[in-house]
This record gives sequence, C-alpha cells and structure tokens, in this order.
Amino acid sequence: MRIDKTQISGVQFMFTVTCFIQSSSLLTAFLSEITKQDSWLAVLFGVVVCLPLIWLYRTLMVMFPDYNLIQILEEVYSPVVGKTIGISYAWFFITLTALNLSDMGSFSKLTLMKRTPDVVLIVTCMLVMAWAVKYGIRLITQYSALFVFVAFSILIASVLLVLNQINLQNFLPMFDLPAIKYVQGTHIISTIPFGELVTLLMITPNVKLTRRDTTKYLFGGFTLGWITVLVVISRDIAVLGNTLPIFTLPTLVTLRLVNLGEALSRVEILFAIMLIMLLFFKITFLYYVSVITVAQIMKTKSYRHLILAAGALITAYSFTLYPSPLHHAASAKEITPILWTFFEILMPLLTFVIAKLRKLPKEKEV
Amino acid sequence: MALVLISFTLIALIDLVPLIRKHLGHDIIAFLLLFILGLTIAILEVSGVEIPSIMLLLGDVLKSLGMSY
Repeated sequence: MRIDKTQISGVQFMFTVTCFIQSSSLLTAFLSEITKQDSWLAVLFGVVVCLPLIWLYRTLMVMFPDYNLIQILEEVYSPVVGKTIGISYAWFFITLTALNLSDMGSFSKLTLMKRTPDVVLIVTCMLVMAWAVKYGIRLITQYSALFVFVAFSILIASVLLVLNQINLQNFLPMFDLPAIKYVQGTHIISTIPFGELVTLLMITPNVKLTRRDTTKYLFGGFTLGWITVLVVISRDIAVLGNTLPIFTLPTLVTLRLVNLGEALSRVEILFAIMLIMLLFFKITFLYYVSVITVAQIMKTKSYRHLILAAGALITAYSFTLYPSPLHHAASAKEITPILWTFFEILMPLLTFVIAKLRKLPKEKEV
Repeated sequence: MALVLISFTLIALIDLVPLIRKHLGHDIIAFLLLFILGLTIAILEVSGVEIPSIMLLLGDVLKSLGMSY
C-alpha cells in the first residue's frame, strides 16, 4: 500500500540528494573544531567511506522498488519486529527534523531577525512546510533544481569574492593531528550529513527508476553535494586559517571579510539566504518523511490528517533537544555520530544481509 | 498557555473531527499519539517545567558504556 501516490522524476530525485547534503553547510563547524586545517581531508575520507554506504542504499532501492523503508523492515524481519524497528526509525526521523528546525531557528535569529523570538520563526516556517507536505513529495522536490542552482551560484560568487584573501599556507601542516581526530572527523561527516541520506529509502516507491538510473541519479546527487561541502570547507580554511575552529559559523565569518569597496560588503546575507532556503527544503523533506513513517507504521488511509499534529509535536520537541547551542555542538562531536551509526549504517547493512540470506524479495515481487 | 491550547484545539478541529466522522480507527490512533505527545510537551514547556533532553540522556548512556569520542 502506498500512502502518497505522487511521483517524482530522476532529475528531481538527484537534486533532492544534492540539496539535502548542501543544506548541511551550516554544520561544518562540528568538523572544523576536530580536524582544523585538515577538515577538507576528513570530507574526502568521509566520501570514500560513504561510497559503499550509498551503494547499499541504492541496492536496497533496486531490490525493493515498490517498498519504503518501513515496508522493507516488515518484509525482512516479520511485521512485528519490523514495526518495532520502524518505531525507532520514526523517532530518528522526527529527531532529525526537530534538530534541523532548531538549527534553522537559531541561525535565522542570529543572522536575520535578532529581535524575533525563536518560537515565532519556527512556528511560521512549520506552517509553510505543513502546506508543502500536504501536497506530497512532488511539490516538495519541485524546486530542488532551482535551489541547487542558486546555492551553486552563491557558492561560486563567494569563492571569487574572497579570492584576494585566500592563503594556501593555511592548509599546512597536513596530517599533523592524532589519527583518532581523523577517525572522528570522518565519522562525523559520514553520519552528519552523508548517512542521513537513509531517509531517501522512505521515498523509493515515489521514484520509478531503472537500476542504472537509480545509480546514476543517486551518485550524481551525492557527488554534487559533497563537492559543495568540500568547496565550503576548503574556502573557509584558506581564508580563516588557524582561527577556523574558534567560530561556530565559519562561513558567515569568511563572507563578512569580503570587502570590495562600499558597494560589495556585508555579502554574508547571501549565505544566510542560501542556507535558510536549503534548510527549509531539508526540513520540509524530513517532515514529510516523518509523517509518512508514522502513517506507514499505523497503516493509516491517508497521511494528510497527521501533518499538523506531527508539526506541533516536532515544534514542541525541537525546544527540548538541547538546552543551548553549546550542548548541541558538543553532542554532535562526541555522541551523535555513534548514535546515528545504528540507523544509517548498521540497520541498513543488517537488513540487506538478511534479505539476501532469505532471498527476498520473492520472485513475483521483483 | 492560552495560545498553545487554542492552537491544539484548532488542530483537533481541523483533523480529528473529520477522522471521527469517517470512523477511521487507525488514523485516529495515529493522530492521537502525535497530538497527545505534542500537547504534553508544549504544556510542560509553557508551564516552565524543565524537560530532560533525550539526546543528552542517550549521550550519558553511551558514555557510561564507553561509546563516545
């Protein structure tokens, strides 16, 4: 049974993947504090580590083209065990949505609307997102290509504007940190944001693609995404040097340094607009996935009646996650990568192995 | 508090009432699960009750198991 019957094209799917990763440019501070001037290396290590992981997601999508993640779990582990694991995934998706919502609230308050209370920003955004979720995945992903285009344009412009401040010496010394720091940095970038692509398994039935196209669009989107993260981190290292780990939002500081006469200063507003736009997309997607997950577990007739209740829960929950941004940052560096590994790596891998051993899906379902 | 109660009442009127009219049992249970959980957290927050962070609690559990950086 499919809860949302709308379909999206391969290209929309690809840009959804890209947008999803690009929106995590805000979170580069988690990484830069650990791996400092070698953060770009951690991104590259993370990409190498994640290639088999993305292949695993692609294989699950190809093996079960008509099933979303909850249906796959029920098929592989039996309905009761599958539903139990599904409930943990519902918590994971709702928590991811709430975390990103909280990030967007704090960021908007910090950069654009300093005097507006968090709750007003968050509730306003949630209402618009609820409207988008109501019309299904097709509407949510409709503007992904535009968002990627705008994000790339702003990124290229930002690199050109800080070209006169780039110092390649800032990348040195290389490989100077203890090995555990590279492991931790790679783990962080692999789970936040790359591994979060596990959410795509919830929209598999809405993307009708051939085996070859699934590979092409999934890896295409992933490549565009990681290139963006790599360029953002490399630009910040090249401009900020060893002051990089001090800042909670290094990109914002980098762009504040742009000063090409009076007309071209304060261009950090461009980054703020880009990031809010991308975060809006990511949260809407995660919100949709959370609602679909609950609807799938409860076997409801439609997901639309759950949108507002889920939105209210996510909004209230987002205020309870961390007492302050400092707690959030500390947790993201020390705990979250380990916690997310279960949902993003271990469970999909175990599901794939058991599905292979049980020779699933059965012939008629292929 | 009043705003929270008004918002949740509106949500119930918009979504729960049609579900009850159509006798959709699964949909009503799913709605109530999300609704009651959201309402409880919202009321506790507005009342100034400190709600423990589930992420920090899980972090403490993982740390006690020696699973953290």
